[in-house]
Amino acid sequence: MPQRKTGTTQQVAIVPHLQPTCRYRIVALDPSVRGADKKILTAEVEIPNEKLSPGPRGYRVQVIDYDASTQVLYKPTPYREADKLKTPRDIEKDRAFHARNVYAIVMRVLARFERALGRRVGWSFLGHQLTVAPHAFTDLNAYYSEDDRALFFGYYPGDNGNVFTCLSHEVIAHETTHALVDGLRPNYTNPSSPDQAAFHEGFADIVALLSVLSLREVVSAALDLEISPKVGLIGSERLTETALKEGVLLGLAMQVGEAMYGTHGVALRRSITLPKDPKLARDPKFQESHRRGELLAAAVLGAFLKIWRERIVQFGELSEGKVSRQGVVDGAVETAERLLTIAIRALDYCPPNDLLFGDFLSAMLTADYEVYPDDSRYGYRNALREGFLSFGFKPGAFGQSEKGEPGLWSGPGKSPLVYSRTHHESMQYNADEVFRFLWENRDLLIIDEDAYTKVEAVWPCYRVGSDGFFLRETVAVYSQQMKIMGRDLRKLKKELKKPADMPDDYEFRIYGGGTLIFDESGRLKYHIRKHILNPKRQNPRLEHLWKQGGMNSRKSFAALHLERVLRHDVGATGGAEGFAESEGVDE
Amino acid sequence: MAKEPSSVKVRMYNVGFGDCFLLSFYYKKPLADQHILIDFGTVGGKANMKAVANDIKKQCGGKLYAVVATHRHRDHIGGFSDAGGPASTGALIASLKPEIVVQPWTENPIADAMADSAPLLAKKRRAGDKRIFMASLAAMTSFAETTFNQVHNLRGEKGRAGTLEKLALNNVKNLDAVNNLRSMGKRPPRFLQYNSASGLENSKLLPGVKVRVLGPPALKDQNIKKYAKDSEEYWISSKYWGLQDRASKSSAGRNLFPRQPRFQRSRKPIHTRWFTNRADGSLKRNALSIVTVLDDFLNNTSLILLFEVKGKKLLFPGDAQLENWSYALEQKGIKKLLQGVDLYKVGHHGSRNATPKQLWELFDKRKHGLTTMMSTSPGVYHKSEEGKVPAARLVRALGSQSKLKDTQKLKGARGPLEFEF
Repeated sequence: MPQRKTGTTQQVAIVPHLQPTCRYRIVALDPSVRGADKKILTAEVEIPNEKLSPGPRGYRVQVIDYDASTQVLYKPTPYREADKLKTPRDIEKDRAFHARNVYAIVMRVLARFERALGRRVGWSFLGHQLTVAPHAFTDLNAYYSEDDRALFFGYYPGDNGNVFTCLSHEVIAHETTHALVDGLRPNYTNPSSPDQAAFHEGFADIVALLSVLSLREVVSAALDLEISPKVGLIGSERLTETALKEGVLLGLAMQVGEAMYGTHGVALRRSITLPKDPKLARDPKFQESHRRGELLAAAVLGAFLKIWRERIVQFGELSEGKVSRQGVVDGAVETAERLLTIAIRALDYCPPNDLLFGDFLSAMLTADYEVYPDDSRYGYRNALREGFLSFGFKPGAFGQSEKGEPGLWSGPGKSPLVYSRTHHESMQYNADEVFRFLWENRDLLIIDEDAYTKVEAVWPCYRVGSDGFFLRETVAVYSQQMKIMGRDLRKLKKELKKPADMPDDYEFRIYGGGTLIFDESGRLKYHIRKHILNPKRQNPRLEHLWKQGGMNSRKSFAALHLERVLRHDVGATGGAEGFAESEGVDE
Repeated sequence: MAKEPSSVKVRMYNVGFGDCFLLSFYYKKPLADQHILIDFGTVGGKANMKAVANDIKKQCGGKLYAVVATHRHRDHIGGFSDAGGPASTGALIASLKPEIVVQPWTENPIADAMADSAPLLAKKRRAGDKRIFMASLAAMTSFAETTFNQVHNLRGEKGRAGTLEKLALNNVKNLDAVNNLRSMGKRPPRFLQYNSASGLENSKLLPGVKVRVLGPPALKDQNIKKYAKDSEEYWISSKYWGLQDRASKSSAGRNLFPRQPRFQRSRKPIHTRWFTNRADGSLKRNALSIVTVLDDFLNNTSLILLFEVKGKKLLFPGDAQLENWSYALEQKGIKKLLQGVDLYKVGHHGSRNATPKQLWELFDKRKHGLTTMMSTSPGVYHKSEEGKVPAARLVRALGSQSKLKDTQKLKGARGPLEFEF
């Protein structure tokens, strides 16, 4: 196709340079958050560069501006290079800016995942391009729909004009995270424990929050709420952990708008203000999935504050009692970036199903250890351990690992695994080859051979280690399931208990599986496993799900968000006994 | 003088997906027999409501003692509509001159006056719990009405709009029926909540019959503040329905960006066609899930009545679900009271959520003579894949642990199915 000049209304755009990244202007938080100049706070972000078609339509994200409520399909605005960094006069009325804003934020989150994981990351559906509808319908909701391969952003008349969910950075990052996590760990939406039910929401909040906090403009503006703007030095008394938490973070959260933005703002506010209390993990009030998700966000946020504070201390005072403002902002942005990397990378070290918060903690610790064995400077891993423990979550990995640090997954030790029947090269990308390895070693790896077993993914990854060398790993994920009837449980293993009034002929599925991490020479480094017949895990899971009546159902993200707005769990009843304490991955 | 009825008969009419129960209390002369009609409505089926109304008239000899409307859903009160004039079923029931009509407190016209949702939409304007609650209820029915009116415009994948239409219709204001119910009683209507006097007990007309009100809980007793430790969050969720109602109305015939260029429907670019079709479908699914939530909400305004007569206990919970039940079940003595239930009117046409296990397991007479009556129709609507009504697992339990009378067995015949003692 012939290329035409930029600035015209033609269908094909020219990318003048072939540099790998480019910069876009986005809404930093949401339109209710204003900068010192009283204008909507915006930020510049760096995202992958590509040859875009009008929409924008790119290789991973395509914006189709269709409004289903009025059945109007808007024509895409012609693509102009100069628009990327433009701040429109009226952001809320500029449809083309809305489209660029969602495109850029979705791409930024995707690129962030790819950078952290050291490989390309797919969406959870077949295909490459996620469709984004920035004005999908008049509704208070915004959600990811796997079946429609799309993100839908609603809009609705608020008190002062329309509220556009497509202008909320947090909402966009949150929904994009669902689309990515659902691809990486499709089983996390299966019915399991309160932890797993809460994970998607909690994790999406963490990514959204850290994405926002890694923007210099946001942190700088947040400091201005507390401290007069444009001051180069800040009094250190304003930078205690409490002051950062209550002044800066909470101040920011309080600014986040009402209604749809507000539900996020409220979750944020609550995660920030939750009092540290190790009893909360078992508290019945925190078994409901959205509240429990707030605990997860609060644990990571606690770590963020501790490390930020530590960095400010280490940065030192420039003159007596005064700290450099630049240093404070840098501290926040770098801490948010690093924690975001840890959180995303941890997904590779998580079990494929029945995830508990403690497992996620161990995954974060192990993922970070692999790249940065020395944690003495700012103590990221200690801060994470403390953050989780302060709400009652212990690492899923018990005891001291051979690495000499608590909470890390252990390696397989000196087990005589058979490698000679599989090919090293093929093991890095071929699911059949990995399955052969599993089958050959099923006794040593304790894998049930009667369950339906599938190697779901084999991902070669490259990460840069602290020594400057590539850390090369292959992540392989296998899942197991059995379709059984109530009466089969005891036959499978005598310790497996059927819930008291479950009929013998009631049919349902049980799940298991594991994550295998191979090192660069193809040797198994970690096997993070949930054995399918482990009664310690399955019995409380079955009991909990039977009580809930949701043995075989899977909730859509749209339904999850509706519940979140309304703060009640429609259709789900009953407590969550037996799941509150982290049971960890099967040792 | 006999202090209790010589016999009691419960008739369950086949109204498709809906409820219609006639409780008849037969006394020895000189006392007159008395009849209480509990609900009269249907949705989405082909029930012959006229024939049912005529049979009610015949059975009660032209005079009802009372009418109970458990909650404002079309499948419970639609038959009381007198919109069709003197020939309507609503007019026919009104001609049976009930002494009294009882309804849940949420139907109180005084509450209606509070139901103006406009002030609640104003930014930061706070209002009392009751006002917010009533405004939310009003916004819900209004939202359902808009959805019902717009449903024929919805496009996209087939098959779902029918369910949405029925569910939306079930939740509209039903004003004709509501107004008729308010005016048909000889005495002023009563609006009940947990533990209020039912107004049905009467030592002269209805001796030997005790009626307890177990639900809905009064607003102050509801668990609505469960997640609302900080009032801001509560405010947002309470505002939700007002906003949703406003949003649904605003989309009708209005474009967001009127001056922006758009594609004609027939000229959509090829790469957008699959998606726009999906988006239309998603809008429908979204509307369905919202209407489902408000359907559940209204179900939980159901009156729950326990009749005690001739040593037997008859439980009529309307469509109450767990949220409604949970208050009563936490109160002292209620669990014990419910242990001896002899007849259970299956809540909400056999849905999973309306017969919570905590309740079902209380009934001591399961497997020992408990009778259950279920008025339902399959495939009329199921709210979601896991929420099919009636729920197979429940029906199986009812069938194996009680003497189940099920209108599905009537195969379209009017019935009624009877329970007598």
